Amino acid sequence: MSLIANGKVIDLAFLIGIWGISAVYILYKERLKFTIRRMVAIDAIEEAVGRAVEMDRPVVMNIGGGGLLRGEYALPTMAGLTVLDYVSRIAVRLGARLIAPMYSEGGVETIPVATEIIRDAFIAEGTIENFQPEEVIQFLPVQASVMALADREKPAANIMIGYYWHESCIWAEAFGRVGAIQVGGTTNLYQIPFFAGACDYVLIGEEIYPVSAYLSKDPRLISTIAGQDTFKWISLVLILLGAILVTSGNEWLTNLLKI
Amino acid sequence: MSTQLVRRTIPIIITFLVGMIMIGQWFLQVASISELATSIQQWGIILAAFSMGLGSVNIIIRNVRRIRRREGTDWLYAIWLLFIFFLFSIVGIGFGSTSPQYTYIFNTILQPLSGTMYPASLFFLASAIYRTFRARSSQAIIFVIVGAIMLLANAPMMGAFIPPIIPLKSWIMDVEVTAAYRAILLGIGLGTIVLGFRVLFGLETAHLGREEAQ
Repeated sequence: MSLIANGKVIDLAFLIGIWGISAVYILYKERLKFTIRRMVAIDAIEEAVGRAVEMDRPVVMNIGGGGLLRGEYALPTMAGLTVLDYVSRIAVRLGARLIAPMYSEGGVETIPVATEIIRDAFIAEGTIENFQPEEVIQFLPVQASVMALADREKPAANIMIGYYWHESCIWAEAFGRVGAIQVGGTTNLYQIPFFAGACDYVLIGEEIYPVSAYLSKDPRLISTIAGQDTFKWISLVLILLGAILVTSGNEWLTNLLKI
Repeated sequence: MSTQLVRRTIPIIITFLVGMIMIGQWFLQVASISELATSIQQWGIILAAFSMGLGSVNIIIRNVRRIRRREGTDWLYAIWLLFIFFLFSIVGIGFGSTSPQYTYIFNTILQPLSGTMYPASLFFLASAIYRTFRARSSQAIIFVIVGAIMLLANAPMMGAFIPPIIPLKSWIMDVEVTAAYRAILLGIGLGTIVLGFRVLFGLETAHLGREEAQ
């Protein structure tokens, strides 16, 4: 019996390849000096929080119901937590009231992490006495409770970054109806069109991941984004090569990728 | 133990070790790694159960405060929420979650209400479409046209009135939509792997809190 599971040798090679390229770029970051393009949706978050301060209405920062314990949902939730860190820092600094609803079983796993992130924002701004965890972090177990939050609080800004299911459309519309400026992003393919249609700014799929790199401008993080882009080019070459080979009746590459 | 060690270094080490075990379990055929990974997944279920307790406390505290403040009519809904919350809790703990009593209140209260939310999404979707389908730019015009084609093609009798709409819809779904979905999926997959790299090796630390607050 081989050490590596059947059909996963190339997958493992690709994983090591992506990590390896990212590590090399990090090592040579001073020489390569990668830059990251402007992301309008992320820039709009500060504008949205500022709007909330002017209108004296709260900011809602929703990280979705994916949670941290289920593989495919954990990383979009991590991206949401990164944005929560950024939003909480701006909201506390500008004096906006922040509400972070935690939805469903996935959201409840994230309550302790989100609480610490927001508490640290208050501590960093020297206003820890204003931090009321039960008012900021709200466990809302069903979709309707988030809609009720929109109707009751009438936020000026709604930021939804994380993993969402069909509730994305309902919530985007519910918050849109109360006049909130909306920034949405998810990796669930089938919900991206709803965000694209209902939100003022949208992050499509992978765009939710480089938020920390974009905000911090840390060369190490930007180097990993460059590694990702390099592997996209490699994937593109493989796709074109594979299409040509299969069309000409050669299954060599197809069989290789199945190893 | 310093705050930096407890709040940053140890969590990063734990994340790395657990992540490597789970990745190893996927790619490698080693019995000990598989057993360890299964244990970790069971720990996750226990963690989630404790987290649910945290969520319950959050609900109780917030709604008790709402009742005390008695602002508007929200406090009446808060009373009802706490009543239903304790009803389910007492019946579930007292009689069991598979008992006829619990099943009865589940089927008569929770299921119909949950079922009501799904049709409600249709009205929200229609409202969102109305607000979205205003042709303010060339991209919005394309969005409107393609959306209209898909809506018409999905109506059964449109195939009889406008026969070309069915193969047009199929072409849009099989070529354009599939290509776009695969492109986005490729990006998501690569982005997920790279974010996983950053989290496992401690480059992504937003979830660990702010250094200046520690």
